[in-house]
This record gives sequence, C-alpha cells and structure tokens, in this order.
Amino acid sequence: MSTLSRSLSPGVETATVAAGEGVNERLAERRRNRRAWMLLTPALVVTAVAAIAPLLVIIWVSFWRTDGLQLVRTFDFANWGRVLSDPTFYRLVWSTLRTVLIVLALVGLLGLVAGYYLARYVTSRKLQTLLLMLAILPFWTSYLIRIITWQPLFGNSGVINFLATSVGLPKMEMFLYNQRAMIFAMSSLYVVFVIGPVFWALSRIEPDVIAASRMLGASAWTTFRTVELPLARGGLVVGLFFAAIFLFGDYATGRLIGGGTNPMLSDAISQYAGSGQWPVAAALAVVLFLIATLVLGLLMRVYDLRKEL
Amino acid sequence: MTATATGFLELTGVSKRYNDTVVLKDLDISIGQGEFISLIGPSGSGKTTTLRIIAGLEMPTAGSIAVDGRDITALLPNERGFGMVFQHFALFPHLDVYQNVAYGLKVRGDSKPEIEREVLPMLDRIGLRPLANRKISELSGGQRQRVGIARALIVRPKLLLLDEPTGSLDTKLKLAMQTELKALHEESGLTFIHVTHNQSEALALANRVYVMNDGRIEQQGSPSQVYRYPATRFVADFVGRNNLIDGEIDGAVFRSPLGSFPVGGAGRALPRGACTAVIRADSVQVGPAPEGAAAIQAPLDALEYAGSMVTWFFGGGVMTDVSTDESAGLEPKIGKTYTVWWDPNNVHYLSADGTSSQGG
Amino acid sequence: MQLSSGQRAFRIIGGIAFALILIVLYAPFLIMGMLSFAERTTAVFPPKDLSFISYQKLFNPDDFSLFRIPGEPLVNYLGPIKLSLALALLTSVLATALALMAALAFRERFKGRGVLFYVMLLGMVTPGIILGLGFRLFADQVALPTGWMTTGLLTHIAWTMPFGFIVFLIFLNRFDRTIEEAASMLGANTWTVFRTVTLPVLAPAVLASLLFGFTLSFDEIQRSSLVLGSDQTLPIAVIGATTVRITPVLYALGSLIALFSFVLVATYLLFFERERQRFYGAPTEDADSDADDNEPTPARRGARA
Repeated sequence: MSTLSRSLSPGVETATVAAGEGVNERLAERRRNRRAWMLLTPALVVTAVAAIAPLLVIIWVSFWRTDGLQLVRTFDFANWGRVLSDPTFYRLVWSTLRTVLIVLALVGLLGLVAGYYLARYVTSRKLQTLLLMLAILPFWTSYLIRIITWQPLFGNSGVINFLATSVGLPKMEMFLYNQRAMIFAMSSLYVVFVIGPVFWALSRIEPDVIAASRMLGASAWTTFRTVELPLARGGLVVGLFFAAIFLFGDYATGRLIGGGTNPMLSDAISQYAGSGQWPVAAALAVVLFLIATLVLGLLMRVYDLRKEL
Repeated sequence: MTATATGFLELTGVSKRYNDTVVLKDLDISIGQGEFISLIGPSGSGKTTTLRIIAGLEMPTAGSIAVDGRDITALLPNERGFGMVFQHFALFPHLDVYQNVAYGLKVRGDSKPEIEREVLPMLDRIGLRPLANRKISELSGGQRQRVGIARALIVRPKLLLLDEPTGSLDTKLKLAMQTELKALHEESGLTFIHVTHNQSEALALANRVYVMNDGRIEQQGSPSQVYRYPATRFVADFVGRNNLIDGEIDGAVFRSPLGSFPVGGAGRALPRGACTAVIRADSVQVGPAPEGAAAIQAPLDALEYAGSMVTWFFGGGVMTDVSTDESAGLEPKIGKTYTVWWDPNNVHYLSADGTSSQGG
Repeated sequence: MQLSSGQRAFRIIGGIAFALILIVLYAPFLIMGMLSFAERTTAVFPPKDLSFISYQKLFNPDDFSLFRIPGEPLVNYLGPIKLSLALALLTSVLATALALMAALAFRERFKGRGVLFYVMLLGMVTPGIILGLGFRLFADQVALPTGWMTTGLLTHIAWTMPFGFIVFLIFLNRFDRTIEEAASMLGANTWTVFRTVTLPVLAPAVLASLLFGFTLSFDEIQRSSLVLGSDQTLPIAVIGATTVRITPVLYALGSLIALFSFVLVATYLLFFERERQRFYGAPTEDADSDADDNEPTPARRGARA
C-alpha cells in the first residue's frame, strides 16, 4: 500500500496520478457499500420470500381457473371475466372503498379533535402525558380481545341496553350486526393511530409561531386553519396511513361486529380462500392491492411520510 | 519555520472531491513534532475536511498522508493513534464522565486498576474529579469540552486534532478554553492541529497557521507573518482588519483613486505596476497629519460600535479602528470631512498577480 | 391568554370528545373484566352468579368436571397461548435484528437506496389478508411445509420488521454520528463501536422494536389464518371460538392478556422515560441548544431517508 501511495506523490507524471487517483477512497467506498448490502440482505430475503413472492404468485394464480373442486393451472382471462361480470364484485369494491373512506374521515376528525384538545387545552404536563398514554395504550393490546367485548357491550341484553332500560329508555339495536356498528367499531379501533401523531406534530410547533400568528391579529380559528393544521398535517397523515394499512386487511371486525351485512373485499378473500376458490380470492386480492396502493399513495401525495422519519 | 520543525506529519498533493464538487485542491502540508498548527478559513474553505482526512474519517481522492515517513493514507481512524476533540463534544451520552474518559483505555483492553490509575489523575488535571459520576447531560458546555479533551489525551495520542474546539462555547468560556489549550500543549509537548474560523483564536494559540480558502492553502507562516504580511488579497481581507486600496507603484509614489502617496520604507522590495496597498485599520489615524504621512481628506460615512472600539467608515472605502474614548473625544459627525492619515512605512503592498512583496 | 367564545366552546366539545374516546376505548376492558367472573353466559349484563370458575377452566382445560354447562364448548387455549408466545418472541427478536441491520445499512448511500426503502416497507403496507393468501399459495407452489415455525414465522417477520425498521430510522436520523467517530478515534474498530456506542445509545429503539414485534405478532390474524397450516395461534383459536359461542372463559383469557399487555407497555414506557432522562437530562431542563453550525461535518449532513 505504502509504495502505491508513495507513487502518487507529486513530481510523478500527472498521467500516473490520474490513473491511480482515489484508490483508497474507492476502496473505502466499496467497503462501505459491501457492508451496507451485507446488512441489508437478510431483511431483503425475508421481504422477497414473504412479501414480493406472494404478490407475484397472487397475480399468477388470478389467471387460473377452478373446475369444480379441481384447480386448473391455465393462463387465461376466464377467472377475471367471471369476477368482473359478477355484480357482487362491484358491490364489494364499492363497500370496501366507502367503508375505508368513511372510517378514515371519522378517525381523522376524531383524532384531530382529541389530539388538538390534548395539545392545546390540557395545560398540566403530567395530565397530558397520562391522557396520551391512555389514548395510545389500547393499540398495544389484542385487537381481537377488544372486538369480542362488543357483543356484551352493545348486544340486545348488553351493557348499553341494560343502562338504557334502567333509566327508562327504549332498547337500542344500533350497534351490532349492521354497517353502522362496523364503522363505529372500526373507528374506535383505529382512532388510536391518529391521536398520538397529531398530538406530537402539534406539540412540536414552537409556541412563538402561534403567538406570532395571534399577534398579527389572526383569530384562534384562523390560526388553526392557516398555521396549526398545515403543520399538523404530517401527524394526521401518519395516523391515517397506519389506520388504512390495518383497515384494508381487517376482515374480522366486519364478520364479528358487522355480522357480514356489509362484506368487504378482505372478508370475501378470506371466505373464497377458505372454500378453496383460490383464483377468485387471488383476483380479489389483486383488486384490493390496487385500491390500497391507490389510497395509501394518495395519502403520500398529501404528505410525504419520509419527512417524519 | 525552521527546517527541523517539519517532517512529522506530511500531507502531499491531497485532493478531495464529493461527486463533482472539489473540496480540496492539491494540498501540501508539513507539520513538525510538537507544533501547534491552526487551519483557518471561512466555512466551506475545506479546513474541516483536511482535519478529517488527517484523522482518517475521510479518504482523500488523491494524495498521501505520512507520519514519521510512514504512509498512513490507507489506515482506518482507529489504526492511526491520533486523538480528536470535536466541536459539539461528541461525548458518549450513555456513559458518565469517568467512563467517557476511560473509554479509550477500556477499548485498548487495560485492566480496571490500570484504567483507574490513569483516569483519576486526568480528572484531577481538568478539575472534574468531583463530577466523575455525573451524566454528560448534567455538565456545562465548558465541562463537556474538558471531558472531550481529557478523553482524547488519555490514550497518549501521537497528535491531537481539534475541530473548532471552542465553537460551541460562549465568549467568556472561549477565552478560558484557549488558555487551557495553550497550557495543555506546553505540558504535553504533543503536536496540536486545530481548525477554526476564528482568526484571533488561531493567532493567539498557534505557532504556525495555514490560511485556507476554496480548498487551497492561501498562505502559511507564523501568526505575525500572516497578520503583518498577508500574501494574498484573500488573506489580507480574512486575517485582521485591513484597508485594501488598489493602485499602482510608480517609482517612489503609490498612485490610487484616493490620491498619490509616498511608498515609504526605503530599501524594501516593492512590486512594480498595478498593486494593492494593505493598510491595517488600527494604523489609520484621524486628525492633523504629521510630515511625511500619507493623508487624505474624506467625509465620514458611518460609525460602527464594537465594545471598546469604534470603526469609522470614510468615503472612498477607508476605515479606521479608534478606541471608544478617543472617538468620543473627536466628536464624530456623519458627513463631516476629516483628515485621515497613515504611516507609509506600515503599508504592505500586494502585486496585482497576487504575490506578496514581503518575505518577512 | 384570554379564550374567545369559540375556544371556550371547543374546550367543552374537545373535552367531551376526548372523554368519549377514552370511554369507548376502555369500557370494553372493564366489561370484559366483569364478565370474566360470570359463571354461565356473557350475553346478559350485569352478570349473575359470580365466580372464578372461568379462570379455573382456562388453566385446567382437561378437567372436565369444571365444564358443567350443557353445550359448553371445550376449548383449550393453553396450547395456542404457548405457541403464540413462542412465535411472538422469536418474531420480535429476529425482526428486530433484521430491522436494525437494514436501518444501519440505510445510513450509507448505495445504489437502489430509494427503491429499496419502499421494498422494505412492503410487508407492512400490503393488506394482511393479501399476504396471507399469497404466501399460502407461494408455499404450495414451492412445497414449503406450512406451520408456525416456517411460513408462520416468515410472515410474521415480514409483517413486523418494517415497524422496527421505521423506529430505527427515526432514531438513527437523530443519531449524532460524531460519537461513533469519536469512538473510532479512540481505537475502537467497527464492531467495538457498534457494541459499545451505537447499540447502547439505540437501546430504547431496540426495545421499542421488540415491543412492536411481540405485540403485533401476538395479535396477528389477517395473515396467520391462511399460513399456519394445522397450528393454532391464540388469535386463531379465539376467532374460532367466537364462531361457536362466546363463553366467560374467553373473557377470562382476554382480561389476563389485557393486563399482561398493559403491564408490559407501562414497564417499557417507564424504561424509555428513564433512558431519555439519562441521555438528555430531566424533562424540565430544556437543554440541547445546539450552537450555530458553522461547518456541518459530512457525518452530520448524514444519511436521510
């Protein structure tokens, strides 16, 4: 090494210098590059096997056919033709999209209100921390456990109705086995994703910025609209993004609380797969993937989440 | 500097490029054992990159680095045995003061008692023994930097690199830290290489400075050399506060748009033709000019107060630093015309092609 | 500051909204706790004939003398609990290791970094049911035996790893790399720097990633239903039980799991707060007023995703 570097000293012909230029630099660069790839490989292998391969296989299988109970490995559009000509398919797509958008809107609004309240109207730091903890803690507990209490809470002889009848109100059958129940349940499950990020985004805003806006004569509402909301947008989108990730694949809530009254694509996929109808399930999965990519992509357009890293 | 002082650390033809940006251009630096060197220059001049290349934290695109004649260009930072003090301290947040200082010894594999024998006197030396078990977050900026220096010195490095060591400290601490660095340098006899954008710190500490600009060395020499005889227009502008007046030398007369003045200094080697006169702001006087002085009449444009000094700015681009008391006595009035003069013997001339007239 | 009428109105509306959210979030846990002591049915509130029998049944699923209600399903949750715990532990450790390695790689600039960032998140952003279905079909094609140790573990790692990856990226983007440089200047080689500086400073992130991995895996159902073969994790067993009949035993189980999660997360948060204080001082002292950065070093310019 030393002789090589020595030969790079000035006094040697410029042509030699140019040829040997940056050997060490390039070696260091290559060493860094190699290390990066070595560190990355295990994660990429898992992703390739358990995420990329499945997606490719789904596209492939969606062109197969079932003949009775027999799986036929062809490559034609018969399966897609069947799926696309079935009015149920469009109902599924529409109900999935509608449910997801309604829940996201609700969760966003609730999360924004709650996060804003927590950040601006709870002045005690201790209480703020406690409330924040309470608001995000349920995320860490079993989601399934949370939805199986729905029935005793909202069922015909459940807690709500017990309380209602004991104060002389009529029985309610609003929140079990219908679409409203499903949306309500999903909102309550996924609002935890929004409160935290919105709160953090709002508390990162310098108090001076808000004071400055108020000094310039802006009302609280104008300040919120023109200063705080744009700055909190990152937190809101982070929350909605994660809520959407869970929402698109969630088939259990619809089944257990919605009672299957308003099936989503995820539920349909699970049922077709359960009965061995792989090509149909795969076609629906491709469609669901496209819808999810579309919605998540739109959210990324609103705010590039990489900025939050 | 004398010939014996050079040769310990040699940078030869060092260049650095990041993609298409050239950061260092064919640098030659030669440092002697026990020197205190300052690399000064504005931000972006490449001084920090130079230090990081010496440290091994960056690899040069071209050129080589040698210590005691041995090429170390390809060595990793941990193989070089240099110490480094960082601008933002870079202390280990998960370790306390003692553990921070002990880190290098522990990595080396010293035993616990050995480490203690070294660390405790070092903590005494920097006056932080009572705080040995403090967390880093509980220290003040000055204390943090002392831990940073102790941590670097304890492994007895071959040389100590200091990256803006006072850059994160306030003015008062800055001066205290400078005194401390000077004392540590004398005590340890180590070679210090110091990077700063603060020229007064460099002039106060270093026995030799390298003035860098735009990835090149503009001038190197002792502080007084650089201060009194800037080699280029850039150095004249960056080091010290100088009036730069363009003109030309015609025999014994310097002609400029401001007027013609005697060149002074009989026997000096002077450039011919177009050149720039460099006149230190503190050598320009206001008031009646004595015989033989270079004098102009100029209106006062503006005043700038900076602590004990007031700078008077005159029409024509001449400024002078006057002490506050003296300034008050003169009762400055903006717009009024004053007589401004300087001693021609104190003027340093730069020829138009950038070379200096003065060797020293 | 003086509140306007609008702000006063919001204080009330926001307070009510927040309170309602908390009620909706926690009422289920409360109800679940109460119903777990019901002896017979969970469909009636308030529960009659309170007892601990559901807990007994939960832990002694083979003691048939306990199951005396006609038509009561005999569900054994112990097996699924053990399997879920094992799967969640393995998943969290492996996913955290892979995520940390990948995040460290992302500090360097290498070719394909931009695209690979999205690839790394694929296992997280793709709706779970799709990956469950796809991986099941893939396993069939390549004759990979389905089971919790094979397909189950892989799916769970692919699902939880991106969460850890994001956590590490967030921490690493705020990580001052000059402390690593300082360590290497003191003679530490790459591995020693990682072991003695990088990893200890990232400890809170490691724990956060482990926690994400554990809870997400322990709770996973979207993907698991199709890839586990004959193995049953707890969520699969629970959802299976709900299609038959919800019994108080399920609520006894739910109460214990909720309690366990709360304790786990609370412990983590306490630890996190302690670590944060250790590194950055008590919350009151608002330190870290970085002096003006005259010449950011290349390391500080650092790798940003």
